[in-house]
Amino acid sequence: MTGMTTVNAIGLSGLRTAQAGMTSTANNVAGAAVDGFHRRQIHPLIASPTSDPLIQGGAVMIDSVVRGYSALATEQYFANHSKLLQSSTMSKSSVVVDKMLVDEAEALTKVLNGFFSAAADVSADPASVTVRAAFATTSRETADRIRSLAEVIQETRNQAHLEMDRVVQEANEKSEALARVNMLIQGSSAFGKPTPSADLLDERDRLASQLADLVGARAYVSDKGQAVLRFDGLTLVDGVQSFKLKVEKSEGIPTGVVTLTRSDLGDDTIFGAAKGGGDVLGQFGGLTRYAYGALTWLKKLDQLAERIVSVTSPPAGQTWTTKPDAQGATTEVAAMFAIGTNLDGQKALSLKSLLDGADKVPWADSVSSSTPPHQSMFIALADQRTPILQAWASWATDVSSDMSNWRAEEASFTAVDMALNEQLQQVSGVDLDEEATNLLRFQQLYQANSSVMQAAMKMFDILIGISR
Amino acid sequence: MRTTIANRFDESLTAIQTHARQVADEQNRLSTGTKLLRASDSPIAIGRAVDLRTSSAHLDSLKRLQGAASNRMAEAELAMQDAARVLDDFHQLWAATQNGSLGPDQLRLFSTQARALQEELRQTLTRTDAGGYRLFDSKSLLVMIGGGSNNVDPISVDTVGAISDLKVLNSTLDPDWLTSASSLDAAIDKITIDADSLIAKFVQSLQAGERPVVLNQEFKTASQTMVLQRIAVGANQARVERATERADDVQLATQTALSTEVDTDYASSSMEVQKAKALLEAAQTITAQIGSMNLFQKLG
Repeated sequence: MTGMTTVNAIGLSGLRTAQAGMTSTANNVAGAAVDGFHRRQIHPLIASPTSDPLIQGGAVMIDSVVRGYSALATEQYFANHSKLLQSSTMSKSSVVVDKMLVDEAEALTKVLNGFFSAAADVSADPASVTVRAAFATTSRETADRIRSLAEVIQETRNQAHLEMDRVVQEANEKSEALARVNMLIQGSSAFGKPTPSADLLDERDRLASQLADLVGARAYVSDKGQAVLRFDGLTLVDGVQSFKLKVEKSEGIPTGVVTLTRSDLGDDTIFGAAKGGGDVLGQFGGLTRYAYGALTWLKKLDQLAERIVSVTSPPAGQTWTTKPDAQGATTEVAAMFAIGTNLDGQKALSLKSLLDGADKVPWADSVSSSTPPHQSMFIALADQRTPILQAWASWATDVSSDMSNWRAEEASFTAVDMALNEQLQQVSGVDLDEEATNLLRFQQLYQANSSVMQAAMKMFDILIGISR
Repeated sequence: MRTTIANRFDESLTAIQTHARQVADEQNRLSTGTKLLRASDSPIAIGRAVDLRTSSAHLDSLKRLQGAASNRMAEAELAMQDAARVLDDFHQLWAATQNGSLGPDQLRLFSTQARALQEELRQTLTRTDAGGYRLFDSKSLLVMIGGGSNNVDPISVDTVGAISDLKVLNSTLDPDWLTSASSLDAAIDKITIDADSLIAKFVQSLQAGERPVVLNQEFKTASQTMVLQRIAVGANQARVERATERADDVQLATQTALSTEVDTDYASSSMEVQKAKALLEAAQTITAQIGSMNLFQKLG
């Protein structure tokens, strides 16, 4: 037999359930466009006297609010997204070089051809001051252009190095924030406390996602719900403890080694070090790979320059011309370039030429020289057009291939990213149609239970009336 | 399968970005006229474009050199023609002096003409071209007219007129008379005004009113050497002309290949722009409607 109180209790529990459902739906709709939001779903429980002796008749209760979350889908998405960030960072870093190589004004094809054409002109007219002056000009332009190309590539490397600092700084901030979130999760998981809120867990996943994007950190969720992050084998966040990443540098240039220190112990206590390389994903991995790739380009460009130096060196026993030094003595200018700066402890880079001024340009003196240079040297020089230009074409093709591969990687990871994102969204995303349906359901539940309450009130009124 | 609002927006925004990039790229191709906007678009095309541009520049350079060679050889050929004519005139003059009825006074009259020819020959042999180069020289002046690419050695022609065979004008000269002389002018003097030269002897005899005792074939032989040199120069000129024609043909083929490789196909790009614009508009329309494409909106 069901008493009046029981009917009221049934209606009230239904109203509360409907209200909780509507609140959940409202939350989902509001969070639909929020990055990292996981939809919430209430799980009602039908309670009966058999399941709960305190309940007479039947009642509806909220068993739990479940967050739409899949550890597998999330991990797969993070892993691929950090690869995507790596390749897209490389593509973005190489945009300048990518465009420069198709620009005739900046690439070397035109200037090198001009140089060899000028050499051919001198071979046919070695006594002409005008032709020799034109040749001296093109030789200077060639040196400047190669140096300029090397400097642009070096500049993109410098940008990548600066960007590394920013990325690491941001990653350190996120790590500290994640450690704080872990602390809150730990507090929420204590006995007698409510379970961690869905918003807190969303924040945990959001920070883990950002750290995966920044430094390719891999996230694991402990049995307490806390995030554990690892970077290239090193622990970045473990429970409430976060570690600081630091890019090791030598003379302002990253060495490729990343050290790990504890925030509370200062930078002197190093807990680990990793050699950031191709295995490191995320933006940091992309910047590292780009910097390394650009260094390879520069070394090859240096080799190309050395080839030009060697072919432009005069044959044995002959000199192009002489130039006066500060003391008035004449010295032979035997080579077009002089390779200078050491980088990474290796020989040469970026064509630090002697050509600081026009007076140091080889053949420049030939303009005023009374003795024309021997034409056979210039015929030999003009003959080097094809091998040098082929070497340049090979360099340009290699560099273009690297950039093309990075773009292909990006396209490939983007396709996978879209598929994984779709899977992730199917689990944790908000479907407005579903929410609308749920809202209708909860509205009907609310109305139905409201009717139960009204019916109970009427019955109560009738009973009161009878007793009068 | 649950289709979430985020999915719909993501796909739609990706479509907008893709089509907007296509529109921008095609518009760039149309405005710049070049197909390759980025090196990474086609690394192989970048390499080929460098090769073709190099070939084109090499051919340009060769054509310029061929033109220079052709001009210089034309001047040398003209100088040889003049030298041969002067030597022919000497031969004619010698024939005239062999008339037994001519007395010393008549022979002295011929000396004026002989001296004029002597000077004219000297002037002709010391002539220079527009660039100041001697048309006849002991050293060669090579000009490249072909080769110099793809492992083919440079092919050069000597544009200097040869006068070593004019040794017949001075029987006392060594075979290396031209190269062993202190200067080119000194060498030319040996065959024109040197006391041992036939021309000098010829002039002196006439000035003395004596009949020259020069052998009758020397001037003719000297003239003949000039004719033979002209033939050689003519043959080289023909080589240069053929090389120029070949360079023109190859240049045309190279330019066509280069254009195919790097130039925008305007018809194709225009169509691509239209297509990408239509797709972009469609994606934008869909994106605008996504917000209203749900049950909430249907239910009012």
